[in-house]
Amino acid sequence: MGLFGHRQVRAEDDNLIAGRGRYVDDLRFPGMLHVAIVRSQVARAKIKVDVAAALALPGVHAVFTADDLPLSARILPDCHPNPALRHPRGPAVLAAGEVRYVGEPIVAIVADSRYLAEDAADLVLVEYDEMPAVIDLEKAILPGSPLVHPDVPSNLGARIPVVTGNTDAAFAQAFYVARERLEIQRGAGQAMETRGVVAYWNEYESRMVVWNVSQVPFVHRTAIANALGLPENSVQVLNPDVGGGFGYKGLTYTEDLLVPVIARKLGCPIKWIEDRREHLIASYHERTQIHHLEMAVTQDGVILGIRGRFLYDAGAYTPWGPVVPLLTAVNIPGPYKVPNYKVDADIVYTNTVPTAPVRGAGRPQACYVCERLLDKVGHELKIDPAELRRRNLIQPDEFPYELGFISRDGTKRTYDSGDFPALLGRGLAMIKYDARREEQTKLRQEGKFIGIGLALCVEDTGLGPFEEVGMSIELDGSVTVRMGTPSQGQGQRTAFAQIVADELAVPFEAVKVLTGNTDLVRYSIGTFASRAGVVTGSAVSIAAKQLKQRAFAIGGTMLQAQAGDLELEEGCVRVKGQPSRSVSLKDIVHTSLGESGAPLPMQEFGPGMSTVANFCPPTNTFATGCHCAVVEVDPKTCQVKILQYVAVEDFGNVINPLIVDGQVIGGLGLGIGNTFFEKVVYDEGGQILTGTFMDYLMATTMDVPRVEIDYIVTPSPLNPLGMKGAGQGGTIPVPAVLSAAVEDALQPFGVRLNHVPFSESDLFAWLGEARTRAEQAQ
Amino acid sequence: MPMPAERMDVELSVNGRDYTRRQVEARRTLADFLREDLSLTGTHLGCEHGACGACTVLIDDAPVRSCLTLAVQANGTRIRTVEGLGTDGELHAVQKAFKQHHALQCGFCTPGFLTASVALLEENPSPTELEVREWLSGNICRCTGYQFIVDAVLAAAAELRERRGAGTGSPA
Amino acid sequence: MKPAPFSYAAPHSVEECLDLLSRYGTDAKLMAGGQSLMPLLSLRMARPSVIIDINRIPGLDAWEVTGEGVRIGARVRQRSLERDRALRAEIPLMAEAVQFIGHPATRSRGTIVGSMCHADPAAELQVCAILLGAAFRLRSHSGDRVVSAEEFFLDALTTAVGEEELVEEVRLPLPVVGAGYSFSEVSRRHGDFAMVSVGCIVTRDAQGRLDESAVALGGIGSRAQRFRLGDYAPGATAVPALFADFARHVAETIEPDADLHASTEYRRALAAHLVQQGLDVAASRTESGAQ
Repeated sequence: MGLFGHRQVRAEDDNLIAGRGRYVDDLRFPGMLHVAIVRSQVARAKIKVDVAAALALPGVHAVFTADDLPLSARILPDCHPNPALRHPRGPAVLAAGEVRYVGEPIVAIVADSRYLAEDAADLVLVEYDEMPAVIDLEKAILPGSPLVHPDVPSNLGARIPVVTGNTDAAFAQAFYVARERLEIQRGAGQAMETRGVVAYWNEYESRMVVWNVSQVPFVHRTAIANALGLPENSVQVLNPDVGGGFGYKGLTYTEDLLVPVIARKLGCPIKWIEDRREHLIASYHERTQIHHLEMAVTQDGVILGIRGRFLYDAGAYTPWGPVVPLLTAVNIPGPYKVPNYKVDADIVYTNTVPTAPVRGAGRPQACYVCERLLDKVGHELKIDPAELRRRNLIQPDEFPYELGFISRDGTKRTYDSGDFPALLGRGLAMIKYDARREEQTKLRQEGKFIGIGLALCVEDTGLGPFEEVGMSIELDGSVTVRMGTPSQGQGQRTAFAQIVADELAVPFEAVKVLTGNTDLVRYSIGTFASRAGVVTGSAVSIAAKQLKQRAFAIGGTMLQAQAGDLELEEGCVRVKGQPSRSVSLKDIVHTSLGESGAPLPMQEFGPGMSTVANFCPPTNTFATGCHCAVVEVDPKTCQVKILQYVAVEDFGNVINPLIVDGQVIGGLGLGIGNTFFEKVVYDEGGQILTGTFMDYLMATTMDVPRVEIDYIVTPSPLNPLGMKGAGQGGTIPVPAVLSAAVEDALQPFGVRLNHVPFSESDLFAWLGEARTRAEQAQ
Repeated sequence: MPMPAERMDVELSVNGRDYTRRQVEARRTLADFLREDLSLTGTHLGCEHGACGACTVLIDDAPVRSCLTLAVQANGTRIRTVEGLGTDGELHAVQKAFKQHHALQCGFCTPGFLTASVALLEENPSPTELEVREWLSGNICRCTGYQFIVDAVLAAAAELRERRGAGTGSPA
Repeated sequence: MKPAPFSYAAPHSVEECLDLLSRYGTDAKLMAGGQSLMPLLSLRMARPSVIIDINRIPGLDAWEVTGEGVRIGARVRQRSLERDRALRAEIPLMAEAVQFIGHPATRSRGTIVGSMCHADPAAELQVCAILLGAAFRLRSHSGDRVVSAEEFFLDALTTAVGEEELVEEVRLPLPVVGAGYSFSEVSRRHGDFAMVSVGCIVTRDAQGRLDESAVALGGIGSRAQRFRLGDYAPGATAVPALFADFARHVAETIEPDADLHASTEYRRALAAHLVQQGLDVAASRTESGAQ
């Protein structure tokens, strides 16, 4: 039996469970100095900086302000330029004369230890001449609001419309129109390992060596080379074990450039490790969006169209362009047929931490708003929520299904494959939907309130343009795989070794997957958007197939047999049906490399058993899923208990279901946080009130329920292994599902849920609003 | 009256090895002492304010946040870190179960979960699922959603019980 | 997030500790378990120049039962309330409350007295101290004194402890014979500070009157508050709606603050619910059972 599809335990774990992991903070180099950053304490001000006292502290080696940086290292690059964003603004590496959010870096201190660097940071005097700031997303676009960037005419940095069909005509025919204001509040990535950078100048090779936690090391290589004025071949970016990515490690931050700049200037190794407080107040956030949307339906609840707009809080800068709001705008229709669609994504500057993708990246918002609108339709038209969705789903025979507008990657948005009715059907069966409805009725009579929620979602995964993989069979028959997409804990070393072991018929243990080093491949796009498995995995498969063909060609020559008569079994090329006519991969490698000093024996094949393969997907593929939940709500305490949670996912063919189960359950953990807990709170002056883990709450063992997982498999036709990305599907539908379930539980009270996250206290307020509505109606 | 000092010597045992007269700054946390002075980088710092559990170590067999303990306070104690959970070159049953049950992804929070779980099983060899969840509720994991961690701890508990049963010849 | 520099001393007797306190006074900070102080140091929100660690003082790690009640030394860990059956039996209320205090790894260092001295108004042990009528023995070179819980807790994070004083022990009365106790709370997550916590005692006198029954609430403002049933309904015995009415009265009397986690109105509603439920549970645990 092959290893593809096998629940293989991970090769990565032996180090990690023994305390032998090597994370960026574990790196030590002789003479290494440590950096601490002084950050803005106000949301908007002109600043003057006095570093004399800090510089005078014993143990301090240097202090850097904006003026001390080379001109090439003063502004962070825009990683995703987009013409729709007419006024992109990149963050300053160190604030020069003006700050625009609390937490913005102003000064870097270099000292013998982090303790001393923080002592010196306390001695930096920053004089703030405060200016009016705007924190609230809705206030930012009002006339007369303070401008975040005086040279940008309005805080509305861009409006991106996504349109198909004729919404006006559709709404004119509507039997019913559901209207909602739906809000998703600010959350954050919060990997358990914060960010960190270690850099040193390799004098011998004239190279800058940078260890960091990047999801996109080649993007960082370019940015660092540009900042230092070095050729790209003089920068090496390395990623050791990385403690979780979740999207925000896919961006370029101040320290990614600053630490190499300091290392170059001082000539010694430099380390900066973000602390949790810095992470909470200064690493990029996501999720804040306020939607004003309408859904038009027929009497039977069939969707005629969706229209409206939403505000996206960009924060003070646009380090990743308009990617997140664009993802929301194209993902709102999800698995449903929406013939007429017009939604404007409005990108708004505020004096807050910039926002950028966090696991899910705009899609949890899309799923939430669409499903909330459907729940309202169902409620008003008295159509069962499962039945309502069934009526609107795209059918299995409609693939490839064109949505009528352009995708994030500029292609016509087309769902390649899937089976939404099967997903829904499996989910409903797993929660025993009909029995649950009966139970609900019965329990209500006993004064107990359970509710059922469900949602389906779509995720564009496996984005292009390509990934490259190098692969070699070594002299001893072991296989080395070199790739560019680094790991943040996903288990690529294991999953990709499974593909290779199958294809080349070698033991799993004989395959070593190398990554996290920009010297390994020519270029790589990076690990994000559920793309490494699909794109790199496909390239691995192609490379292995190439080596297999090569083994047949060389082995066939050695065995004097036709390639078509050969098979690869147990590390040997054999003539089918004649096991004694066999040559091992080892011998093939030896023969193909020749003898030192002698001519290459088989000139026609060239030397060695190595290859390089690229996979370039024509466009992204779509993972799909259906989650269902049963909750119980205590209307007295407003506490929510999740009684059952079911996730049915279609990730196409799955390399390692053990790892993918982990992705789903882990994604759910973030989704639970997004639903009940995770909220970055600003006060009116722009101070973050959630600056510790005592205030920024994440789900614990007591909050994430046991999940029942099942898979529907519709292989993607867009890649050789039929895979679809699995990195975010666990997260995306959770706020929608649990909001629906809680609302359903409290249906006798008439409660309407319109924002996430929501606390017990929020639920209590909603109950009060519902009571007031009921009283007014009487 | 002992005079307050900014530096002092500590003596302690870590993972069975004695460290004598290591001078530390008074303000140095035990976590930084283990990581920086003893190069035991298996103990990780996730929050440095006692709210994530990544830095959990065992001091005299009790689970403790090493970011909320000063190195000088550990003077005279016996400490176990993730590097020292196994015996005779063999990993602890909890460590093996974590691998077997895919109870880790990025691995950063894992040392804290492992030390906390070992402490639990030393105190309560037969925890229920709820007891495991309650015990570990102060450790944050961002990757796994906890389910496989809970499964791993329960499996390790069963394994250890079985081993003990076999060792004493009593029925399993 | 590294602490600012400080000097450190670990006295070996109460006398040495008091010497250090009288010498360094305002510049010094006592540390017992450190579970509240260490985060403040690492965030540099507290910057004492001297830390006086009481963990080397013999005797302070002991508890004992005397004729007057239970005396718990300043460095008895919160874990003792879980592991020490004899101690649990002496203070059933705190034995029930301890499950809500942080997590095993904080309870194994955090001390009972230390939590009370930190005086977080949402802390479970403050509620217990207020409900039970605890007293604190304070030592200093200017004299020793005993301060009642009502006088001890002044405000959020503020106690009556003077700059040169050491809280040597907390004294708790022995359980009232025949009484029932309960402790419950609602927090955002398991182990978080409570949005509202409620400790209850239900006790009857010889005539069956409930006057000395009481509740104390935490998480409702600058400090925990105690309400005696006899002040609300003097002489009441078993009345069906008594607990519900009393709970409503308590909820209407308190003025809880709103914060990131809960509104004033929600806290009031929680208080009403938890008080009534807590009294019912406590009543069911009295010698005579439910009312």
